[in-house]
Amino acid sequence: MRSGTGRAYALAFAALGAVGLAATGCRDEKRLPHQRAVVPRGGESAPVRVSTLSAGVHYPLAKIENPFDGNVHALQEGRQLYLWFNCAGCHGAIGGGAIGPPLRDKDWIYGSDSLHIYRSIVEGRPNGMPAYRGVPEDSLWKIVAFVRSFGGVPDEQDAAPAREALRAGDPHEPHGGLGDAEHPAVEGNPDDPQVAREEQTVPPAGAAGAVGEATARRRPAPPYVESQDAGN
Amino acid sequence: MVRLPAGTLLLAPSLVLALGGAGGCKDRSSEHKPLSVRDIPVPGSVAAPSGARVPAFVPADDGQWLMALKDHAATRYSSLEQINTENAGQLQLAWSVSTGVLRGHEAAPVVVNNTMYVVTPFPNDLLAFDLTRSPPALKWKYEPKPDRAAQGVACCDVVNRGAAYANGKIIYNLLDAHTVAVDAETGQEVWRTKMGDINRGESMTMAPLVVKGLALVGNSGGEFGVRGWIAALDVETGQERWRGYSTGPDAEVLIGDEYRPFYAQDTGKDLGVTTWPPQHWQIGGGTVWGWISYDPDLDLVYHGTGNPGPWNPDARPGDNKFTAAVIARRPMTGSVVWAYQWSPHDLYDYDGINENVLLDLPIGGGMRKTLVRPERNGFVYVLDRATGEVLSADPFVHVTVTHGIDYKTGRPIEVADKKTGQGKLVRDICPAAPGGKDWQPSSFSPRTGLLYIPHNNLCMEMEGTEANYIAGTPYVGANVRMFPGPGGHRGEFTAWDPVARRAIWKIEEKWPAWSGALVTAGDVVFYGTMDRWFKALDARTGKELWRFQTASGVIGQPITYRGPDGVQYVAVLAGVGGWAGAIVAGGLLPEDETSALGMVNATKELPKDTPQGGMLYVFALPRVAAGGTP
Repeated sequence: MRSGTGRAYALAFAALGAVGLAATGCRDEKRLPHQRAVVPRGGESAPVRVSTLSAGVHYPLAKIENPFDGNVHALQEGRQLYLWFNCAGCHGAIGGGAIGPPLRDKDWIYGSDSLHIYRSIVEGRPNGMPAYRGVPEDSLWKIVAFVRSFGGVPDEQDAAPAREALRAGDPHEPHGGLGDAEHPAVEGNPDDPQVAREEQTVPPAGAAGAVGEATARRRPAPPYVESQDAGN
Repeated sequence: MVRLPAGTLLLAPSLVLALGGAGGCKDRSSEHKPLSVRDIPVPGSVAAPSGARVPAFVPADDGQWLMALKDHAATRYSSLEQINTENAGQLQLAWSVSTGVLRGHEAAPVVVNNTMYVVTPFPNDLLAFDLTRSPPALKWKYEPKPDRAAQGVACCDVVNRGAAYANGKIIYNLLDAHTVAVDAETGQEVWRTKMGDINRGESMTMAPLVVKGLALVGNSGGEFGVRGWIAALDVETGQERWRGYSTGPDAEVLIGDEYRPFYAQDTGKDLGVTTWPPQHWQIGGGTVWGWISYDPDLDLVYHGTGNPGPWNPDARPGDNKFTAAVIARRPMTGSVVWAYQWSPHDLYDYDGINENVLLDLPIGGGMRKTLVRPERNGFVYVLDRATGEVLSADPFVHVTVTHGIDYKTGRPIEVADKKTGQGKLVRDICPAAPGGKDWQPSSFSPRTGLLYIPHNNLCMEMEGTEANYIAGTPYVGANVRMFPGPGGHRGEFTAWDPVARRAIWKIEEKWPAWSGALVTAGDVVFYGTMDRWFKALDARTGKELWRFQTASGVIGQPITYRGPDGVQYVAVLAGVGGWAGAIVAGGLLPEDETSALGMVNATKELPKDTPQGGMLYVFALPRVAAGGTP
């Protein structure tokens, strides 16, 4: 059944592709800035530690910038990926926890940095977090951005400046909310006036259509891994 | 066939309503009247003994407790009578100890040869207490160290429902899908057999039943796209003798020449394949995570099967056999003699794994060999345990999704506008996914003839969503929010007359009554609550005789035994958790209302009523309560 996992991933991507097409068909490419965002590489090999305590010489934590932080489109896609990879089944549709721990509180066993979360997904964790191998890098980073946008990361490293802006059509609310049968889940469709409105309010971007450039300006180019081996 | 006159009672209105339901969009007010327990009585009602009996094959009580449900008929009845309705009010703590584990404690202690054995939730430690010491003391501790990754495939807390004793060995299941046998005297592992694979989402939580030198065990994982099975292991060696799947080809379900189902719907070749979309039976659930009974006269074991997966029914058109069913098999070969589906093409996660209480009931002027099942779908069924025929089925909770059971076909008569599906939000589904009653085993007293049922009073709204199968991850496809049923309370404890087919009395509980029940020849019935009370009631009237405040909520199964000092003791594990207590056991956040499969919405305030913490409590009457000699 191991090969079944690969097959299932393929299915997930096929379905996501369909969703993506449905959501983005005939779009001006400028409306999808995240596709041009430079995805961090080397996330699986960057040095990372999960303790704030270091023996002897203190060295700074390795950090990695996630270009999808605060990007509305990426967060919506991250939400869809979060559902498709069955993250919600264990961590809750809005990160309240279930089989696994909550993701919207400040309690992070294995660290709350983007790289920490990335590594938790890719490597798995010993108390039941499965290792997700073979997932494309950009998908992983979008999931990371979405998870951090739950608001559980410590304030000084808040990853979700767009969170307030998103609240109106909260992407964390499962399928548009259970409370309304007439309005099924919105899959981040830019045709949705709600989404377009949010786009315009995403700081620091000004006009719609310039979000990508703003994001790209805000996020430094690679290398994304900073301060590594500072203690050596 | 003798049919009970009241059996047609539920059918008449349903025909009218079925016509009405065909019209589509209807005003809510014109909906059918939900099924409810007739004349809901309150404690104080007294009924003459119902005439229901424990089968003659149940051996005389030796004062021990060898398996979770006490005997092969699953009665949870003890003939000990030192503690009675006159003196139960004086019960006191005799001894207690922490299990050292925080998660939900659903197990029943086992008592044999003056030793008590307690299985903890993950990490599934086995504690042995020497009862000849005063107070009793830890004799040894066996730590199996199951794979900790297994916690990631346990849908509803990392529980374990107990062990069984056989031929000098304690046999139980580990969360990482292994079965172990431990030398009851020394605590040494005798054998350990890998039964399943956590990478396919399989875990094991149920309590084995030993029949004819075989330990019968089954898997869990109905929320992970697991294929359900029951297997028989040689008690001496741990070698697998047979394995019968719940789904798939007849050859793997072990359907052969002996198969004689009662209903036409269960007749046909390879139904475990043909009632599914292509290949879906391989990931379709039907796990065997609940209770098993055995009738030595008929030489049949009875076990239930869990929900089909995913919950979203649109992903699996067909009857999805044999999920949400009860199956009668030969113990030595696993060969299926009959099978009956409680909920064909289940729409609401109504696992069919509850206890099968084997009783002899006076029906139609004679005694019938029956299987009594308080089922998750909200009905107490009485089946002929030789044939699988439904003799009666009556609601014991508020039911909005079915009009009753059609005795001609054996199928529930579904309420059309309560059908769940993809992208469809269905409100006011009663009972909710954990059912009128979940795994928590009931108890039967031959003295009162009543079945004591701890159960839920929960409803839900459910929306089917796309489910994506990735091995080792949840496969559910539903957003659910649960809420309390009529009355605003979430649990009930009901004394049910299986002959008159009605409740004699009911007690309302704030939280789901998630503990097992125990009844004794002293006419005292015991159960625990999630808000930290362990209670003793008068079995005839339901009058509360005594209560004790535990450190954490009680979801374990109480037992009673005669100690080496000749004194009757009552023991229970406290330690809240399980599905109902997930918000406490898992530290979940109340704002995520669909979390824990929708249970969080109904239990937001539970953390105020109980913390975590596994504790064993043992009670006795005062003369021995101080831990000294009588």
